[in-house]
Amino acid sequence: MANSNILGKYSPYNTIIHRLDPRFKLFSLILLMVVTFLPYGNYTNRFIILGVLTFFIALIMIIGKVSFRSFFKSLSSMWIMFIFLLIFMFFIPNEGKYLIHTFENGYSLYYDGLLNVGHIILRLVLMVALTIILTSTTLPMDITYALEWYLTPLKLLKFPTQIVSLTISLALRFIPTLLNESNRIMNAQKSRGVDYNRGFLMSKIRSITTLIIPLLVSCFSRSDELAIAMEARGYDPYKKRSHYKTLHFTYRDLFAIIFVLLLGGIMITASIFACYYQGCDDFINIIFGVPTI
Amino acid sequence: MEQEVIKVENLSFSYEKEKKILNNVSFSINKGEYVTLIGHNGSGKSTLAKLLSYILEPNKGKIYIDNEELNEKNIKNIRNKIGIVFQNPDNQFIGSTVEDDIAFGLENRNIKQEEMKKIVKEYSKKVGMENYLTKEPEELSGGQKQRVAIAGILALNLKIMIFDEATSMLDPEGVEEIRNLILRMKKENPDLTVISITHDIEEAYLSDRVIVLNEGKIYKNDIPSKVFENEEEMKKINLDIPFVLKIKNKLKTKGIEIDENIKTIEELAKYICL
Repeated sequence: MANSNILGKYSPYNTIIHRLDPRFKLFSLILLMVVTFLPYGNYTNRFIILGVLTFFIALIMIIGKVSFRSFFKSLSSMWIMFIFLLIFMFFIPNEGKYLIHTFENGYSLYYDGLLNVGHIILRLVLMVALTIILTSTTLPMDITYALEWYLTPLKLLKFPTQIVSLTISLALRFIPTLLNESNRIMNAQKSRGVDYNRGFLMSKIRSITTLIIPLLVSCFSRSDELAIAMEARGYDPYKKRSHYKTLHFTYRDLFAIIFVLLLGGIMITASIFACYYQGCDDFINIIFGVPTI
Repeated sequence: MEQEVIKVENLSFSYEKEKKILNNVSFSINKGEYVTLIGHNGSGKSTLAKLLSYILEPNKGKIYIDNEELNEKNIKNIRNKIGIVFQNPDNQFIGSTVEDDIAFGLENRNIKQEEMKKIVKEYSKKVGMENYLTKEPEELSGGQKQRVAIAGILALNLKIMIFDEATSMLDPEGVEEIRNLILRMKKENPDLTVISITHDIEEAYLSDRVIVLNEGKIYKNDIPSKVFENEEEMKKINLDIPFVLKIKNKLKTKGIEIDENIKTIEELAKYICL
């Protein structure tokens, strides 16, 4: 099932990162993602901040035994974006502060473009890394539990959190089953002469329908049977249910949350300094007294 | 005095008006019995299974479970008495791991967590899945998934278990696994009533009583050795007789008598060789 590896698959180790509370991991993921996308003033500032983040994220990846192979695999589809960014931010602008070279016809290239592309790519890579850390160290079921926990305040508004979280976990549970099924249908259709690889757009779309329709039909009959099985085991969406697993917040999580909040706090402060207090925008220069660009 | 737990009275069902799938079927099942329901395709046995689990509603006739009529009002109450193992192992695996799936029915009954952990451990051991607790359904065979489903139902401590063609999608090994599990389960808990709707004649031969359906009517309702007595008769309604019995009959014509109690191939092999 190579298809299900797109955003990383759970790898069953027992590291500190695996044992952290999924609620905390979900929160940190969002916080760190926000932090990577905050503005930090000039290029030196940006790269130093991103460098610090890269260091910590790489450290977490090593501690959590995240497979670097699957990480690079999911990055491999980003090269198209890289080319686009190069075209739009490096070759087209024709303006900037730091000149590389001016051609005879007046067209010139600037370092600004390269730096811009670099820092956007770095941000995206960090975002992918963060997502992979979450998915490879946390069971899908635990992520659902965490989501349910975050949704609990909505219960006051009569929002059916229990139903929503069960729906999500059932959907996650059936992804591999349906992938297997679609493979089986594809093989069955191939043996009947459908060619999924060749042909132009229209014929490709037509051949895909031979996969989609049987898959949809089987999905409906599956969900029907599943509903009957759930009811037969006494499931009632509006009754109070107990939980087989509950999440426990330990001292380990406390240390981790202090660390993440500190890191996030420093980054956010830096960003505010850089962007809202004029004169402070070059904080690296102010603090360390080194020239910046 | 034996206690009736299931009573079916004059049950009739048809999808369309002309053709009756089930026609005036009546039978009753006592507490602690292991009854198999067999019949060739189109005999109405799957329909009967659906009626018993209240997926379909009968046109005529009544079903009583533990002296309560099966109907819209009672269904929630009755679901606490019967557990059903369905045909497709994938579509009844609700939890994302083995332990979550066994716990699903317990969660619905709002049982405390510590207690649940104990129950899950106990029943996973009973079905021999204690080493697979954290496995996901994709990593299990069909037989193992059905064993998990059985554990999930056993854990609820119900009076009646219905197997709705639970082995028809399994490989021969899986069929054997489930067959042995049912027998072991019965031995451990003699009060448990088991109804198995099945294709598997070997299983029927091991049960206490066999109900044979043919064209919507009960054709036979007796102990296995009586039901399978006449091979010709069974062939007429497109059913075979168990393999062990076939050999026994062949041996009988050669003048070799074999003990009545021998019901499995292993036992027979041992008997012949020793």
